[in-house]
Amino acid sequence: MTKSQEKPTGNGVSDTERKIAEQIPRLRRYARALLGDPVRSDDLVQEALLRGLSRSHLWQPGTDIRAWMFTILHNIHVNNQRQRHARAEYQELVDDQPEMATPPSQEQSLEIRDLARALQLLPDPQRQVVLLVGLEGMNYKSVAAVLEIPVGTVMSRLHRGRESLRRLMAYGPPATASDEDGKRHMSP
Amino acid sequence: MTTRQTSIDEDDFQAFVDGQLAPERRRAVMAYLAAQPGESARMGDYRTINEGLHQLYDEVLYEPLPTRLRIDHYRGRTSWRDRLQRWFGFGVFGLTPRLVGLAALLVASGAGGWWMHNSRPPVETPGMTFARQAANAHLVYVPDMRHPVEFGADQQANLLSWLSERLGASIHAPILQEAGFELVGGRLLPASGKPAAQLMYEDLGGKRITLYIALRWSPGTPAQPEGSVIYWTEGQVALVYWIEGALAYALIGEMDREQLFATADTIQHQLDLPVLAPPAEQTATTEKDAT
Repeated sequence: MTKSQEKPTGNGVSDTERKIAEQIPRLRRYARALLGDPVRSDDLVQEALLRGLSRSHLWQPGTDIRAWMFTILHNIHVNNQRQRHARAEYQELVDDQPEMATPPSQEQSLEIRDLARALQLLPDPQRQVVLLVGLEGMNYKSVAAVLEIPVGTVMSRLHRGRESLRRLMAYGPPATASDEDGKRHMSP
Repeated sequence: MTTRQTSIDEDDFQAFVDGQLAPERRRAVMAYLAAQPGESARMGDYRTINEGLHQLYDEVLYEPLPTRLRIDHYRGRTSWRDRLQRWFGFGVFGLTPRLVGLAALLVASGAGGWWMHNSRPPVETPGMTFARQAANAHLVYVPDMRHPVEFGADQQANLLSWLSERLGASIHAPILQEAGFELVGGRLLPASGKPAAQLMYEDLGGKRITLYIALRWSPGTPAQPEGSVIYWTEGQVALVYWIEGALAYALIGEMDREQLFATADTIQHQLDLPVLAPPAEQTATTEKDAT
């Protein structure tokens, strides 16, 4: 975006910029659920927003801008995670405890709080898929495109992620916990 | 493990939960699940997880945006800001919000949920508004013995064409005989300045359930996946709601959660069937085949 000299029309926001702006609440919801921490997740959204704005000329009109922005956010997130891991290994110290970030609020039932905690215990790739599908309501193809993985991988991560959440929240009978995910195809 | 051995696999189950199955496939999965209480319960748990995610995070959609996430903040300044960003990382912009965030966290954890509620504008998602309106309409008309409906089931064709015309989308009355309910009739209702419809059903024991239908809320921010059913309690009333095509549906009645879901499945299933066009004069509104 090097349009700073351009005379703004209306409220000064271009069409593409407005479309990007419309995605912010959803990106924010996703980031909040993904990271658990309101500040870090807004950091992530801000970074995605800046990158999206500075590359808005690269967006192809007519294509799905939501998927485009989610892809940007995802790439930044993956990058951040990599750096964080490198740093954590280096310092041998894990300073962030995501559970602390979600303030316990009294209106929330126990199960709901458990879900927030369980979600943060999932491996990152599973959490991404569970959220993009279950919270963001994306179809499997879009999820595959955003995360740059095959649809089959989306499906298996979704299954594993949900099963883990279910077990973490002590829904399922603990007896079934042994048979892992060997039963992807069930034919009696 | 009875008759059915169609190759329903795990992917079908996930897609079933997410409302991403083609209608025929959905029917096959439903038939399979009917004979598999264990698997059926597992699907229920997955749904609970989806609902829980929405309950936890949907309000983020309606939180006022902090300045740094507002696009006008960057208008015309992107390039230098970009540069600063690269030089300083988030040190410059991240610090203040971090402190604010910490303060908010302390206030929230110290004083509990209600204080948090008071310290920021109340957040009600469109889904919540819809659920509340549906529950209110239910509570008002269900106990009514004299005029529970404006048009009775004997005038179903008129009723449905009138409601379809007012809502601008085709309204069908699902058949719920399997669950023991017969259509009583329906009425038009106001909902946030727009028309909504209520269809009422009754079983032999006089128990009434209602199906509340309104136009779906702003397509920009659908708070839930298309077709996926959300369970909600509003006061003493429990309901399930979902979005399908141009419409949002809520089913309300004194049923337990599983019954609500099962009935919602039946309704969704029927709405998928093109056969279900209301009888007689309905011509202008033939949709549902191209959602």
